[in-house]
Amino acid sequence: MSFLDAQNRLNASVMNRLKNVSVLIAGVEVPGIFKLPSIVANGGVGAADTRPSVQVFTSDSPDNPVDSVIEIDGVPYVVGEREDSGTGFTTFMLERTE
Amino acid sequence: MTTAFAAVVQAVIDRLSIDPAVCDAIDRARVRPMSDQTDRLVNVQWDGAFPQRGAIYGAPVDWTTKITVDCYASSVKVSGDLAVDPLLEVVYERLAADTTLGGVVTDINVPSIEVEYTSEGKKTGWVRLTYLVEHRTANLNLA
Repeated sequence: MSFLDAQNRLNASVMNRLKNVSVLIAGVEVPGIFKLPSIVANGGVGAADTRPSVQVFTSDSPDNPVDSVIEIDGVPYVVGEREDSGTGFTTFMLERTE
Repeated sequence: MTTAFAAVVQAVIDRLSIDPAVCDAIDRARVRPMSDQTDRLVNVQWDGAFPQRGAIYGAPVDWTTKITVDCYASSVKVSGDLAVDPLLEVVYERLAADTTLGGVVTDINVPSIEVEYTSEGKKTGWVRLTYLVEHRTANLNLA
């Protein structure tokens, strides 16, 4: 088994265990790992906010998803940033639309 | 008895609170972030004061006091600058309408303005108006 095979097998196992949402990207539903931690936005003493993100397989991500709208369990978000792990996962940093 | 500095801050808050208030949430010397459930907030605080050298012993002291008015606004629909812009406008105009704050100070003057934006779950705009307020205290105390 090559290292790439091992990597893919591990990624599949991680997603299978940790997936918590269904992500609709360009009309296709894919599994995702969604996070919604609390953060404080900068500026003065700051503003309490959240930093939503979703992790999908890199193979499920379009080439240029930034500024596109995706749905997570039916809730629309705009993709603000794309971060590739380089090992098979891609994280979208999201912005709320409602 | 309070110092003139605390009184100036209160005078600013009183102006901003006149019905209709510029914002539902008007705080003073706030040290915590605006809550996630709040979309607009104004914070007023005193950030320092500089005395003018007196020429006569025992004479009143003229001060230039730095008062900051922070405007916060968040939105999921528009960018941070557009979210905070209406609040900035109403705050500026409310204070410009009476530059003596009801006779409490000599002049609040025109403020300098700083801005910062962030985009997380929501888009937030923060604007700081810094007023260099001229006012006077009696000699030997800060009343």
